Amino acid sequence: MVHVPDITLLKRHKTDLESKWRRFRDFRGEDGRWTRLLRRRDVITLSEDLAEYGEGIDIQSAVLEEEAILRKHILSLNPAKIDVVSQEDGTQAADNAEELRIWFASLLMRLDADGAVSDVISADQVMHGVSFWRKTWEIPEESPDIPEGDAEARREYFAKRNISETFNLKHVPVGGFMFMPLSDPVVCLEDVEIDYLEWRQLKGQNGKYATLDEAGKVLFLGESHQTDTGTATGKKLHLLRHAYREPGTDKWKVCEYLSLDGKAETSELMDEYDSPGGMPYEICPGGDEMRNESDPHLRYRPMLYSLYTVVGELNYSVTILMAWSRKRLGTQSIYCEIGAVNENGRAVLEGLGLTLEGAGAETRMVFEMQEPGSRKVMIAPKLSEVPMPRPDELIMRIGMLGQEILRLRSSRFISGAATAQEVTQGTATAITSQTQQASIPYSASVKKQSSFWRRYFAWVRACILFWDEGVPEGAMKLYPILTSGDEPTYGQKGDPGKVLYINAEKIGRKFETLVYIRNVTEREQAERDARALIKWDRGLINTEQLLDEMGFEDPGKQMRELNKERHRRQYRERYTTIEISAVDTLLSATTGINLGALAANAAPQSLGGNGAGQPQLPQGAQPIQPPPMTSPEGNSSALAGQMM
Amino acid sequence: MPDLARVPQSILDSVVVTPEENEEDIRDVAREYSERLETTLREVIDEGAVIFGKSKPANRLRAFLDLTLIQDVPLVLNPDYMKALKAGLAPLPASPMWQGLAALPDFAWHHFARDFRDLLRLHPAEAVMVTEALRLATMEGT
Repeated sequence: MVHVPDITLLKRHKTDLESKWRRFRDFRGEDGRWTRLLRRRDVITLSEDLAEYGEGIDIQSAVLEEEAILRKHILSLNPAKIDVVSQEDGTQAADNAEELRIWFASLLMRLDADGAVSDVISADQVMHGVSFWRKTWEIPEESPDIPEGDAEARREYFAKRNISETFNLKHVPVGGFMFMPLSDPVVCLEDVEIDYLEWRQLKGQNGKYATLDEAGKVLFLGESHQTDTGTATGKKLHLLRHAYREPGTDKWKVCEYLSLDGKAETSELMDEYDSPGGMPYEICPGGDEMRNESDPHLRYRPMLYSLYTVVGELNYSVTILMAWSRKRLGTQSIYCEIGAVNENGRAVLEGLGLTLEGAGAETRMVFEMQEPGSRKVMIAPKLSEVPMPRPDELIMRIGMLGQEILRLRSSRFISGAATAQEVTQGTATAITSQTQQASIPYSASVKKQSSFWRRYFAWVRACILFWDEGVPEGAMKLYPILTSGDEPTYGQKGDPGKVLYINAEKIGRKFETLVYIRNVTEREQAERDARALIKWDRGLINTEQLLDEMGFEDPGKQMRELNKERHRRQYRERYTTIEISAVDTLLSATTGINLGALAANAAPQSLGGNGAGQPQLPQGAQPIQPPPMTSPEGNSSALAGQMM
Repeated sequence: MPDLARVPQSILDSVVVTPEENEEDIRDVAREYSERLETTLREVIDEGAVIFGKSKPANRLRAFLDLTLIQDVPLVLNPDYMKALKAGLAPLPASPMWQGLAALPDFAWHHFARDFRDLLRLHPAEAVMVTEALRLATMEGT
């Protein structure tokens, strides 16, 4: 195989990727068309005759931003929950699955604290149609200070480590990431612009800090991050992270470069390393992904796509209208045909301060618009209508666009803004149908989020297995998590404050990780439950179907839970009797009072002067009979005297 | 977590599972109840509902000496006694206290027996006394 130097590979890949992703980035990049629309910073170019009147007019609809926030909230309505189903038999496998469920849920809780990941994914799905994340890792190292074989010290050492240092996720802005092919990537390129203060902390493979020479080339020569050549001050650099699967293998390599202009030709290699567990990026498309499209711009359709086009046109039309109105109202005079006037009439009108133009039948009265601040007022006769022709087509179009925006906004049935009239006048079926229809695009996006987390956990598993491949169980690394008792799981949660350890042996067992994100509102759920119960009550569906219709992700598992509840109820009374008896036995044993007999006689039993706390010994039994003991003061020990 | 206690009995009665699954579910429920019993008993002990709970060490030791028959001392001092009892290799204790504890989940015996052993370690004078009493009892027996 011919070895291709990495920088050559970077150039080749970068050229291919940029050509493929050009349109995607044109719309979604930092200065992309859609980004500008969203931020109400769209640049509207008017025709030459209107351009000067449009200056300073900046009327841009805020509807996109409003919609983006609302849709993001709808997508984040329910948090992700984890289940782990063992694919092996036996109690040990079931216990491991239980531990893994809590462990994964706890990891999810840490990574997604306050929606740090899910909120951003939702926003990306809504605004860009796809979300990109870089997976970061740090291999937990053994402590050199712990003696070999000291398992307890080792556990304590690993327990101090925060799991989010070992595994984490970093968001990659959509305009700064490209990959190919779209269905099964083998090459990824991340291009991030970093600030001066940030890149000054970066070191090359030689351990020296990054700096710039006079020609603007990046060099790793700095002895400390404070060394500055002067030419570098305040400059931003591009960090290019080039990841690719090595041909013919499953191994991924990552090369990081720094460059002033972001070009491959001027890039300087900063670091290179292997990526464990496969591709170091995770991609979460939106629900409107068109999988048959090979152009990323067409494939990853944002949920706001239709609104982008309509709002873009609305902003343009309103700007034209405003510029046109300003032109008509602000600077042009109004001419009024008055026909032929004789000399006297003309003199009278001009004497009143009115301006006449033309002669004979073409005489016109001119009402001059006064410049603001000129301290003059326009003099005009009483006119029934100022003759100001309006661009009716434009106004009609703006009206149509307004209607179109209303149609494209989030359904009021899902956002909870349906009017009282809409709710009271519609039948329950019609309302449910409306709500279900409105939730279709959201369900699709939510499913993609579930898959995102499932793939991420599979990667975590692959990393743990990779790092401890062939290592005996006792020497395997430990991955502790402190459980809070509030883990988002389907099933038992962890005990608060308990440290749960996972190693490659446990995570290497056969199991399936399931991530569920419900996508229904409480009202929908209540309606769905009521309908299902009616059907079940009438014998139209069986219990498993009832659970399925009620939205249980795993009806079979829920059946088992209900079966256990059935047994709990069946044995509850017997247990209560056993519990009372056990407590009686414990108290009787440790006090010497026969509580059973007490209860039977319903009166305190005399203990023959021994008092409470003294035992009832069986007839003929031999108690401890110690010899009399002498205290240091020479007195007899009270203790010995109390012996029976 | 769903509140299964509110599920109507009619739904529970309609549940269908395989005999193997049912057996496993019964085992799980038995384990749940067993854990619950242990928790209850621990609470009774920890909250001081029995005289040993929050007493001072000297008082606890005195109570142990009061409630333990001399012939039970070797059993209580043996950390593996419960295993031996279950295997049929050791007699039941004669003191009502230790008899009652032997009838409860293992942890109850271990909790008190360990406490008794620790207290004897901390009070050498009483330990000597117990040893002497045991020696005398053995001599009398022979």
